[in-house]
Amino acid sequence: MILKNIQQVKIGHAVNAISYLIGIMAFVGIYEHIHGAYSAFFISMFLASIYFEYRKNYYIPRRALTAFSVLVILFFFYKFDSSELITQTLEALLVLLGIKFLEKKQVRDYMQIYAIALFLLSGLGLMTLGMDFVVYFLILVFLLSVAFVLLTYYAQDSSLEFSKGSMAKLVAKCLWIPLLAIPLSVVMFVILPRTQYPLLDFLNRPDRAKTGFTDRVRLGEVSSIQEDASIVFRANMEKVEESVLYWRGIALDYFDGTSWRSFEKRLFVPNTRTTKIEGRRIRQMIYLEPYQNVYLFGLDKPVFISTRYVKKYDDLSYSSSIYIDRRMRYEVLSIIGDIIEDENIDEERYLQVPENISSRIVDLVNTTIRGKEGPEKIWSLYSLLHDGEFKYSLQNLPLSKNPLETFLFDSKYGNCEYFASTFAVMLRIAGIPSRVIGGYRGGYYNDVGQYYLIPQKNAHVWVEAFVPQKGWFRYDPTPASMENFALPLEGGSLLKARIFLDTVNYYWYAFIINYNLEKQISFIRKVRTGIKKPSLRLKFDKDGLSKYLIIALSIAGMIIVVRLLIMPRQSREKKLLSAFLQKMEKHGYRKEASQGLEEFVSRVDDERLREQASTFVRSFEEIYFRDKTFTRESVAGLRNILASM
Amino acid sequence: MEKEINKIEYITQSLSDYLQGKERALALSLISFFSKGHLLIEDLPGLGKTTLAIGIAKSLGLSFGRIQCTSDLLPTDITGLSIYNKSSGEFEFHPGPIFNNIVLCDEINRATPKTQSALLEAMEEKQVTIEGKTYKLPKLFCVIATQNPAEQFGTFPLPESQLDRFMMKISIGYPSRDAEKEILKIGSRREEIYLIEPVMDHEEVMDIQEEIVKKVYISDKILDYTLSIIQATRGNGYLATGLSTRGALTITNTAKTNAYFRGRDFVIPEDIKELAEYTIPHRVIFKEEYENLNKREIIKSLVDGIPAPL
Ligand SMILES: Nc1ncnc2c1ncn2[C@@H]1O[C@H](COP(=O)(O)OP(=O)(O)O)[C@@H](O)[C@H]1O
Ligand SMILES: [Mg+2]
Repeated sequence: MILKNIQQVKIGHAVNAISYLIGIMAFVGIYEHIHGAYSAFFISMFLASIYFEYRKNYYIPRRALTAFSVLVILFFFYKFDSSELITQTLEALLVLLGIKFLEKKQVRDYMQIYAIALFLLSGLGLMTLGMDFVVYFLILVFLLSVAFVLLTYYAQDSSLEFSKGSMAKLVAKCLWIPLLAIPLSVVMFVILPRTQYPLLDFLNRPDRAKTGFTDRVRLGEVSSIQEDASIVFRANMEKVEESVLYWRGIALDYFDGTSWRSFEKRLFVPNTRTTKIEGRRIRQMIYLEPYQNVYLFGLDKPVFISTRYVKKYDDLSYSSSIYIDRRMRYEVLSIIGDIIEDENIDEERYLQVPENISSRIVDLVNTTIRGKEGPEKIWSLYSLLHDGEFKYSLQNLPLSKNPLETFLFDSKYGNCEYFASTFAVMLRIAGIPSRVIGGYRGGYYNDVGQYYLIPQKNAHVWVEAFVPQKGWFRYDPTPASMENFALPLEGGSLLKARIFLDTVNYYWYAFIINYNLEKQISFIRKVRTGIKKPSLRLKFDKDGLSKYLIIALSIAGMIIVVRLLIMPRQSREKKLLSAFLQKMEKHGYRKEASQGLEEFVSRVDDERLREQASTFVRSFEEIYFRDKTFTRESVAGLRNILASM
Repeated sequence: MEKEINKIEYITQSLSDYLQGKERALALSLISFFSKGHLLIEDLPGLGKTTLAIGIAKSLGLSFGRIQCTSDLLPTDITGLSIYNKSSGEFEFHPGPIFNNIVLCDEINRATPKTQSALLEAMEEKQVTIEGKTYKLPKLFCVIATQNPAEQFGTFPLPESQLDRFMMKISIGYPSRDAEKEILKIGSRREEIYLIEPVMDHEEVMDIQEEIVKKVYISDKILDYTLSIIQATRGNGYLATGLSTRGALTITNTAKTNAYFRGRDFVIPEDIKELAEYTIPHRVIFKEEYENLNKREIIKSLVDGIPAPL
């Protein structure tokens, strides 16, 4: 027999186990309402199928079972009595459920099992309406949602394996689905239909420009911009101070008088200063909507983005080599701070100004910085814009061929693009290298889902100025820009409802829809569960108590049975090995089943990592393939190597 | 162990002066030799087969015999024969070229089936019987047979059932452009190869062979892995017949030698995987409709379908 990595749980096993749990739960719910004979029949079918499946690996032929089911249905028709409609239906369904378990179950059979369980549940709802039904309902809905998630994976690839930890986390996440379902249905069915809030009409009025990210800042073309509240991405991370929330997207280095472009982008080459990664680290998992461009956003400054096909540029922006027209997800590691260390920049690139730059602007700069030195120059120009007579606005924008001039000397109204562009150009005139950074500002934190929600309307541009020997400093010349992005959308409590609704959206996208399975699994492994659980208090009466006891006992019993049957104990070396493999996966290397460890490690590109990994592999194999036992010391030694990787 | 590995390493290095860019073929031949197996080289003429055989024999300090197969070659041309000595009045045995440590059997597919089978029998039994008398072959005995894949007319392809006798089947292949340029610069060094100083002696070679058998540990995990591979060849859709038990033994024996060469005294799955394309394809029979596919690739993907025992 091929040795299996027993610390992994096979998806097929998991689906099967949870289906048995659902079966027993469905039974526990209705057993007091039906005739004992049917209960006995169900129990015996149920046990027989566990026995056949796990001990004998035998399945009764489908045809025989179908024939039997037909007979059962005929039997119930025969003794049909309209006065006991519900009881009889429940009995028939239970018997069919018992038979269903005996089959060699395929995806549709599992679906049928869940469907029958749901029917039984609703049947029960017709017979009792007590609080215990609610508890029962919640448990079963929980089990069913876990089952559906697992079955989704299973249907895609029946040979998938999860580590136990990730399985536990997946289940924990599903706990939210039934809990969210209750208030959610209230929101959906009671509140929303009565409001005028335009949930879905963000896309109307195409004749007007809308806020949003662009890889080319154009000025002077439109006089008013509409706010777009559609979501561009969600960022799963801890909550941080508002002032930190600059989401970097693109750096623009070339200005032609009306628009900024990214002209001389080069791929990132580490040097002694740029590779410094000291400071506060924040990890984010970004769920990016298909926004029809290639740039990947990350909290400023993103030092590492892990996804396939990512390109990192020398200005610390990142792009995907694949056009983002599908929802995607990636992890970002950011170091927080207002400075990006750099040296030996290409001054020509960052001092470029349009040839026909207005002399009025040049004069203005010269008078402003007269007699000032170094950083003072920057500050004087900054306060001219930020604290001067210029007003932030999305309306009355200058329509002009010389938008900066019009903005500075005539209209004095502008959005962040005007402020940032003007500031960057003025810096350049003053001989200070600068660039315009495009991205997003702020975001709304969803405490339940622990993520930031960033709408298109939060699109923002700011400026980075270069100080020799130090690096790039961030300046945001747009006045009061904090308020523009920190304040929620108009309509306070509705916003909360919407954010709450978005939680479901988030979980749905995060776990079920659209991302490829491989990524999903590695994500599940990493996600920390830190959601505070609301308390759910229920009164128990004595009668009820014994019933809950039965439910609890049968679940516990089932779990023990399932454990004994399915999951062999995990040995030390298996734990060690899977810790190693997980580590490697974090670095982006995934071992294929057929690969040996040395073969696997030899493919690692990063030399240091390869060396460390092969040290681990060599000492691991010394013990493993010599059939020696892993002593505490050897395990500790190996763990040490792992920790350094 | 280290000393021995260094020597083996040295042999590969120094022989690659005579066979530019063919370290892999040299290493494989040495693995086959130290696993006490015979080697089949399938290649076009002039790619260094003879050079390889002589080089190995010389540097291991072993005797070398050579058989050039033709259709009129007789079994006794290989084994030797008894000749009546008039003066002594007795039959005297004149051993054939097979009584050497390393025997190069060039273009084996030109010999008649009868001659082939005499050779194959000697390879298997390590002895020859002539006129009722049995003569033992040397303890260290390895046949390196070559065949020319391009030649079809007037040849007798080895029967598939006999190919199993060879531990590995390799080909040398054309040298790379750079290597070939180097060869052209230096010119043929064919004569010099006879002058190679031995790096080991008889004794030492046998010691290494024994050490590999005794000291290299093979875990049950690896055995299970091997069995999975064997099982996969037996039930495979491309194959008419799978690996025999002799084939299974080859897999573990060569894996041990491979591990030894890498300085390990235990086998890992890679030791097996690496050699699979040389130890397996000639031992299985492909279904007729797949005869023309790349057999090595099929075997490779078959082995890639087996999870490593971890
Ligand atoms: N890879 C190589 N490096 C150096 N010389 C080579 C190489 N391959 C072939 N030769 C030379 O080519 C000639 C033919 O080699 P030989 O061993 O007789 O080939 P074969 O036995 O396959 O017909 C010899 O002179 C040999 O030295
Ligand atoms: Mg030759």
